[in-house]
Amino acid sequence: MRLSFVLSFISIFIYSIYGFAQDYFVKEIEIQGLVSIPKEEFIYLLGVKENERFKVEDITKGIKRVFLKDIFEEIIVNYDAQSLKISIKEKPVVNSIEIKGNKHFPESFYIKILNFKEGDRLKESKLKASINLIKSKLYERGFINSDIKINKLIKDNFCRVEIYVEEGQPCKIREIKWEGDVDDYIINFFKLEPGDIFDQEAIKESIKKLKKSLEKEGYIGTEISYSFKNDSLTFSIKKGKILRIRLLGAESIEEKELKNIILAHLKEKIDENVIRDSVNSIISLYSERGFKNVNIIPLVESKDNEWEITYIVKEKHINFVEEIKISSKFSEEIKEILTNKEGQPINYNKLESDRRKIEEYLRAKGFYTAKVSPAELTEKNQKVRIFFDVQEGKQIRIKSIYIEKINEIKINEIKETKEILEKYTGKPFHEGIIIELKRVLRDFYLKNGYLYVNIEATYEIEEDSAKIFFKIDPGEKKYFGRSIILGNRKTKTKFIYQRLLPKENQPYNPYLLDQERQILYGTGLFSLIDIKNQIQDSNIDLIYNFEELPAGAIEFGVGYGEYERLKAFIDFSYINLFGMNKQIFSRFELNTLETRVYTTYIDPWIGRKLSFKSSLMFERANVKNIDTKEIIYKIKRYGLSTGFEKKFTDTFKTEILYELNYSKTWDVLPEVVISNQDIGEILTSGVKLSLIYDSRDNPFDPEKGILGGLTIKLTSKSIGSEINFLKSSFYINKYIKIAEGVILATSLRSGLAWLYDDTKELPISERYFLGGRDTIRGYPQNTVGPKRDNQPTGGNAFLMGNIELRNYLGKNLFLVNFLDFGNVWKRVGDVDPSDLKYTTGIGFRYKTPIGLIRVDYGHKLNRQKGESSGEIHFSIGHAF
Amino acid sequence: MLFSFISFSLGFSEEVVDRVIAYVDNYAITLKEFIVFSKKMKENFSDMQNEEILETMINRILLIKKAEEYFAGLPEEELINNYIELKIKSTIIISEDKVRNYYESNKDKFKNIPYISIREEIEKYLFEKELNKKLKEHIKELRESTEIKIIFIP
Repeated sequence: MRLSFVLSFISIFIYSIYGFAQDYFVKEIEIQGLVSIPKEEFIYLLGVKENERFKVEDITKGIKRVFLKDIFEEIIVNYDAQSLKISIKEKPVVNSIEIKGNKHFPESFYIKILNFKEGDRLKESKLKASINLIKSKLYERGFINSDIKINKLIKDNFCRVEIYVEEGQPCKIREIKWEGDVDDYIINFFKLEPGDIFDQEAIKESIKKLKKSLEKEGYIGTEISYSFKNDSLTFSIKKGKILRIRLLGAESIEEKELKNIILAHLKEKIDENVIRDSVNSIISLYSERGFKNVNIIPLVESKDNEWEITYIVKEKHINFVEEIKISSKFSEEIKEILTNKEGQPINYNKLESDRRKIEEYLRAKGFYTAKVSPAELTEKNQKVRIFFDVQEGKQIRIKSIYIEKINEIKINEIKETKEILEKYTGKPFHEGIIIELKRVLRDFYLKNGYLYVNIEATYEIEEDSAKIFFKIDPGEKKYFGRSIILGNRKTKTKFIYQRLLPKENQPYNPYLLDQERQILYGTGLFSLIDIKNQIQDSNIDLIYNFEELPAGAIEFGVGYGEYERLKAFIDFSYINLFGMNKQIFSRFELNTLETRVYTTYIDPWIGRKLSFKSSLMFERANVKNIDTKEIIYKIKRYGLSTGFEKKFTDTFKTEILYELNYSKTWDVLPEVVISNQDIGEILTSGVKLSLIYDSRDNPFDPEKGILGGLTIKLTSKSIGSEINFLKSSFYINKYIKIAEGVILATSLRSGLAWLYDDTKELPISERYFLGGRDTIRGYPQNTVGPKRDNQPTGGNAFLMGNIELRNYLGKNLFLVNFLDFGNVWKRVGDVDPSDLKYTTGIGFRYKTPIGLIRVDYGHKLNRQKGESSGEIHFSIGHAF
Repeated sequence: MLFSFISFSLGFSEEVVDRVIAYVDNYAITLKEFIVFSKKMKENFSDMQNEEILETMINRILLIKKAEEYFAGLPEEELINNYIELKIKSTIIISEDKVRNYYESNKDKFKNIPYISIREEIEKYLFEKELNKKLKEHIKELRESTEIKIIFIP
């Protein structure tokens, strides 16, 4: 009996490919035919350098490594007179796909079927598979005699793929027969006529829809099939039965909730088993809600076309936990971790898991032999007392930890291992601590390159102490090798290499790869990063496979604002300029009062957590007194800012920006003019420093965290400014979740401006104004503070605060109660915290995919004569 | 000289350090790998042709590539064996009837050896025969969805 040896050929060899000891000195490297990646990347992956020696096996490994890029067809490495000559042939790039000869289906139909696209490398296997895919799709659509041919036109590094489609004559339906439960509704559902093409895809889709529609009507177990013979199409339809569920006696749990549980069981078929399962599920739900001994009787009535199942529920009464008693000195701590709680309905299903929780808790405290008896229940007047009898036993502590065997580990690593273990001596012993110690040790060895570390642990218990023995086999120490970058189409490979941590030839540490993933995901460029290990003896090469996200986005919207009336915006963003994650954001806003355009360029990678930012801004606005509808002034402003942002931690950053602003103010109401610079042109040039702390969990709808900041801006004639001032603003917003669905949000904001040298007044465009939808909501926009002839003039200082209680009402709706206060003063010296305007109010928020829609009513608490009692505001997003 | 580097040189003075002779998707098979592998194969199967050796190398890569989807961090041989165990061997069942039928239809080969004495050997033979058949089919399937190109056979 001699066997075939296919298996033997494949698996009996243990071979090493590296049997050549010969080495070479290479003075220069010449590469021919390399088009798609930079020479530096190719040489890095090949693993050779000019003016260094290399072995043949390095080249073999290098060729294999570089081939993983999946762009090469041939690589030949020659050596001649200290020169390494590399000839390369790349797989051509498919630069166009053309569909020819198609009559029934458009080109897009065929392009969607293909398993390659423009920009991919040409692969014969894909072409072959595409032919089969097209044929089988056409067969499904009724074209059973199709013929497909593919022609490739290769020029330089590119290939044009021409696909010739001969669809052939379609298979047509001569007659349609209907069998079984057929009516006009069902026949019309298929929209089929004799003479139509036998399109199986359309037929299957109609069957799916029909089944769904019948399911909606309550039919369970509908069967629909079809056959096609001699051009005759026969449908066979067997309608399922209608299912009617009745619940009698279910008063404490909503009928809808119970029906959903029942339907989950009876969705596909109805028999004794599934009905029994549905009864058990209902009993289990009742038990969780504190009902003991609930009795459910299902009555099943099967008619020709109908199942009627009546569940008769006998609920009895609900029992509450009056007291939980645990005979342990840790009783109070233990109660915190139990599912059953005093004062709540008893959950009979969780009594056993509560018992186990007590045992586990005590064992974690070192009571190795702790035993807890099943709960003893005493019931009286719907109140239950639960008693857990605990036998704690002795508390055992770790006396000593021994390392039995260590192979090939460096002395400092042994020392560190011992240090790790010493920390655990004297701690309470439990089996969980062995797992924890093994994890800690495993982490330590993994971080030091021992990828295949094996740790075994045993222990001995004597009286009240435990000895733990570890046997550590670290396995071979592995080091990081080279990194191969794949899958990136728009992002430059160079950019990715710059983001990777310097780790080549360092001990292999999988945690570093997690850090790299975090950095790379943080760029916002990738939807998936897969890192695979390629073991090369003691080195491990890493294959990074990237899937990219779209880098550009356009958003636009139109809306209506209480002051601005009709408003619209359009946003452009692109976050992968030059394939280097440089970013540009642009926004254009237009409404009846304002036109604003700005563009920001950000390079987030100019240094360690250091970004460069530059913005250009244009604004034209008519500032209006909402009360009197008068235009207070008109302004046109151009701005430039440029500077750096440094992120110190995930929550703290600082910014330093140079700002240049040119503004022109005209048609200013005489009442608000307090300086010559309120009218006409003005140029400000200054430096702004900001410190920002942000620990909010969600910047658009925070539930917890703090947003705080301090900004100081200094303008000076020495750097081209026409006025001298120092402006400082401070803000702190705090968000606290005080209960489920209830958020307390508070905010305190202030701004102060000092003038120096010959500047006597701050121009109107730089002065502070308060009042309106985001500040003090009982007042119209910008109307709080100093006034002249009833027109707000603004001031050099302000102080304001807000307190909001945000309550979630369900279905994306929130109710908000708020208190706002604040004021504006002409000079910093005039600030008087006792002179504040207070408003309170109520508002609603509705959460939509584009943000919160907000409506607030603010009521003045210290209304002056002639003032309205309050204001209504419509807006988007929270006030702060 | 079967493995002469000179025969693959581009010029008379140039020496081929190594080159790609075939590939399976993005896994290259180089000339140097082939030389070492071929030498070892021929120690066991001296009449094996270079084409068969290269095909074997391709089949190995196909299985390793697939096995890496299921197992991580194992040497190549273990990867292949584990994969075959999981995907092929676990699906083979040799029934008692099959063993008995084989014995009955080849009785003349077994002469007077009683069924009970040869049963285990027949089962092993039939198992391996089925394994080889299934493995061939599986490799054929893998080949259909893989880009394989032989640039030249040394």
